[in-house]
Amino acid sequence: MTGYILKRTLQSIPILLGASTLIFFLMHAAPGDPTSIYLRPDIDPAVIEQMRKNLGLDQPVHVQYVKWLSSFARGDFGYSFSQKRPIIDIIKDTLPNTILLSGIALVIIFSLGVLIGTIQAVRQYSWIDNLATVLAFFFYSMPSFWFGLMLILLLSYKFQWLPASQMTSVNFEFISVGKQWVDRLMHLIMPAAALGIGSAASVARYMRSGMLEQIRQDYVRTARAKGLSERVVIFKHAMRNALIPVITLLGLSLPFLVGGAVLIETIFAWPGMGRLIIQAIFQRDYPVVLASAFVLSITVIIGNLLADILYSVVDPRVRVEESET
Amino acid sequence: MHANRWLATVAGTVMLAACGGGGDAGGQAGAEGTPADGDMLVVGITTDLDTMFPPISNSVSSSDVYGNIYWYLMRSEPDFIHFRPGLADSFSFSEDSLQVTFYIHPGVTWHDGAPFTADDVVFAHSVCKAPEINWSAASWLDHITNVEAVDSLTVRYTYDERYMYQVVDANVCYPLPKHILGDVPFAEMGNQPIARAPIGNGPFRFVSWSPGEEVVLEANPDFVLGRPHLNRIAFRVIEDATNLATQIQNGDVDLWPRFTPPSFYPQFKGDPELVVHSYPGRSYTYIAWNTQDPLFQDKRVRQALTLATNRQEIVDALLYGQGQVGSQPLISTIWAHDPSIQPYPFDPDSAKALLEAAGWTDTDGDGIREKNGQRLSFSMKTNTDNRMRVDIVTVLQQQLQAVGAEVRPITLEFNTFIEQLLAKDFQSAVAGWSVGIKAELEPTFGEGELFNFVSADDPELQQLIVQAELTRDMAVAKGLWSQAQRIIVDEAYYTFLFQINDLCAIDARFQNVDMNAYSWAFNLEEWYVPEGRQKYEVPVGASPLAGTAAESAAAGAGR
Repeated sequence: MTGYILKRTLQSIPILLGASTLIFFLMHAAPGDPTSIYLRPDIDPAVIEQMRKNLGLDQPVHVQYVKWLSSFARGDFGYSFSQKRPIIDIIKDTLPNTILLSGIALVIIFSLGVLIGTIQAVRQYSWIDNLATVLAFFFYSMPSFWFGLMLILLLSYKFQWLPASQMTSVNFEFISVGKQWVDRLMHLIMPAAALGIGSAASVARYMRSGMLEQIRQDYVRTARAKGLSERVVIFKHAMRNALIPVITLLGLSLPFLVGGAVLIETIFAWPGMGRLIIQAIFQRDYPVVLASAFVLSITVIIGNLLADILYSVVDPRVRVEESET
Repeated sequence: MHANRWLATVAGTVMLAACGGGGDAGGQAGAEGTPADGDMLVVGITTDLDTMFPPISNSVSSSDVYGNIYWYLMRSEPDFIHFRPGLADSFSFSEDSLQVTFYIHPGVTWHDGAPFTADDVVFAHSVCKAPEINWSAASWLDHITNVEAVDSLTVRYTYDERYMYQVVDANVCYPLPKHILGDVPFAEMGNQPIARAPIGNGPFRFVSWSPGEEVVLEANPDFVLGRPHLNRIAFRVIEDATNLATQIQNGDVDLWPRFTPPSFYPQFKGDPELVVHSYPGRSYTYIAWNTQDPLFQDKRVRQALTLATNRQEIVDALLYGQGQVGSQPLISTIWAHDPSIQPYPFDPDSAKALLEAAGWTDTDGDGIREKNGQRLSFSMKTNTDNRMRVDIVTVLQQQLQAVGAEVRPITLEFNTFIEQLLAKDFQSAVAGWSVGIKAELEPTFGEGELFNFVSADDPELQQLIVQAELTRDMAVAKGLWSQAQRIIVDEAYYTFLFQINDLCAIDARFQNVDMNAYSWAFNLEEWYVPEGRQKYEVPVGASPLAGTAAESAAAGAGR
C-alpha cells in the first residue's frame, strides 16, 4: 500500500507542474496586469511604471516564469499583489474554511444519497421512490449557485431562519460557547446544502441502482433464507457491495465539489479558497491564482487517492498493488 | 441643521435626495431622540480590504475602514477645499503664504497610549514620499519642500510656491506612529503587524480582522475630541448583491454604502426600516468619440449625436432618477464646476439639421445617412461586466437610429476594453471616469496624455488648462476652468451622459447621519441610536484583542 501511495504521489508531480505552467501562461496572456486597477487619470503613469518594476512585471514572461518556478519549488508561494501579504498566510486562512465546507457537503452528499437511494431500492416503485426520483432529477439539474440564491431568499429573507453569509454572527464573541457552536452550524447549513445537494441526488441514483442489483443476488436470498432480519440483510450484506460504485463516484465528484465551492463561497461570502481564486483572477493577482490552483489540485489528487484506497477497503477483491501493475 | 447641509445644495436637482423610508420620514435626515452611547453598526462591503497601512492601500473598502482609525490634522468639507478640525484645531498661513502651520489638539494619543505629536506628522510625510513606498498620490507632495515640528504640538509645512491646494496637500498623507514604525525600513513597512492590526489616533480603534469575512472596530473611549456614540462597527464582506440586499432588508446588515445596481433603489426606498441617502457621487459616465476616426473628425457630427441622445431618459430608466444629466467634465463635486454650463438639450431635429449641414444625408432610404458613399455606422464599445453600460449602449442604439446613425455594440472584458481605449482602437465607447478632488483636465485632455484617448488637440484649450492650473486666485482660476470647459463642451469630444448619485441604504434606527460626496462616513463619530432603539448589546473594550493591542502599545511606548 505504501509503495502504491508513493507511486501515485510521484505520478502527480508532472500533472501539477503541467497545470501550473498552463495557468501561468494563460494568466499572463490575458490583457491587463495587477497594476491595471491603478489606471486612472488622477494617478501618475510613472507611479504605475515604478509599481510594475517593484513587482517584477516589467521583465519578459519567461524570466518571470523561471523566477516563479524556482521560488515555488523551494516552497515559497510568493507575495499577493492584491492582499499585500505572503500568500502562504492567505492559504492558511482560507484552506481550512474550504475543507470545512466541502467536508460537511461531502457528509451531506454521502449520508443523504446513500440513505435515500437505499430507501428507494427497498421500496421500489412506491410513491416514495417516485417522489425521490423526481426530486433527484430536479436537484441534479439545478445549478448550485441558483439553488443557493433561492435558499437565501427563502430561508434568510422570507422566513429569517438562517443567516445568509459569513461563518459566524456579528455578535459571535459575546455569546456562550454552546451558542457559538449552534451559530457556526447555522452558518454552515445553507452553503453546504447548496454545494452538496446536486451530488447527493446523483449518489442517490447510483445507490438505488446498485442496491437493486444487489438485492437480486443469490447471496442476499441466502441471507434471507438463513432467517436474518431484513435490516441486517440490507445494511450489512447488500449495502457493502452497493457502495462500491458510490465510492468511485465520490472520488470523482471531488473536483466538482471544489469547482462548485468557487460559486457557492462567493454567494455565501464564505472566506474560502474558491472565492479567493475568483477575486485573484479578476484582480490579475497571478501568484495567488497559481498558488491556490496548486493547492486545490493537490486536494483533488489526495481525494482521488483516498477514494482508491477506500475502494480496496470496501471491496476485498480489489488489491491496489496488483491492479496497478 | 448640520445634517441637511448637503441637501440644501442639491435639492434643486435631485428631488428624491431626501432621506426617509416608507414615505412618512421625508426630511428627517437629522436627529430623533437624544444622543446615547452604545449599539453596533453592521456595514456590508462588497470587496475585501487589501491592507490597513494607508500609504500602500488602493482599496476603497480599506479607506472606508482605516479612515475611522486614522485621522488627518484637518478634515475635509464636502467641497474638498474647505476644512474642519481633525486632530489639529486650526491652521494659519505665513505672511508670504509659503508656509502653513497646524496646531494639534493637546492630549491626542495613539490607540496604544503613546502621545500623538508633530514628530509623527513629519515622519508620515517622509514615508509617503519614499520611493520604496511608491504611494500612488505621492505627486501631491511635490510642492511641499519641508515639514518640520516647531514643537510637539505644532507642525509647519513649507511650499515652493503659493497655490490653491496647499492645505489639501498637507492633509492627504495620514499621520503614522513614529514610535512603532520609526526604525522600520520603508520597504518593510507594508509587512509590519500594524498593516493588518492598525494602531491609529482616531475616534475608533481596531479590534479584529478576519480576511474575507469581517473587520471590527470599536469606540475609542479615550478620544479627547469626544468619544463616538456607537460602541462598535463591524464591516462584513459580502460580494453577492442579492445576498447583501437580502441582509440589509432582514436587518442582519445595517448599512450598504454605495449600493449597486440602482435597481435596488425603489425596493429599499419602500422599506420602512431603511433610510436611503442619495447624493451626487464622484464619477461620471460618458460616450467618448474618437476624433481621429474619419466619422468623428467633424465636430458637428459629435454635437449632433450628443443632441440626439435623450440622457434624461437614461437617468430615469437606468438610474431610477438618481443622477444628473452630464454637462461638463468638472462635475458638481468639484469646486470649479460651472452650473451655468448647461447640458446639451435633447433635440433630435437640431441633430438632424446639423448632420445634413455636415453633408450626411440618407440617399438610399435605408434609414441610415451616408456621405461620399460611407454610411454613418460605427461601433460602440463598452465592458461586459458593467451591466448598466451594456444597457446604455442598447438604449443609445435606438436613440441614434432615430437620427439616422447606426450603432454596432461591441462588449469586451474590462481589461481588454481599457487596453483598446488606451490604444485608441475604438470608434466610440461608453465608459466612466472617477473624479478626484482637484480640478484637473490635463490627464484627459492634454496633448499626448495617456488618458486623452479622444485625441483632444486644441492649442487654446491646452493653454487654458495650463493657465488655470498655475493660477492662485480661486475666482480667476474658476473663470479659466469655465473657459476650458466651454471649449470641451463645444467640441463635444465626449457626450457627457450623467453623474450618478451615490446611494446608501441604512437602518432607520441610526440618527444624525450626514452623508456626502466626501464620504458616507463624513460624520460617523456623531451617529447614534437613541436608547430604547438600540439593537446590540456590545461593551467597549470587552474584546480580548483590544487588550493585547493595549499591551503591545504599552511596550511600544517605552521606546
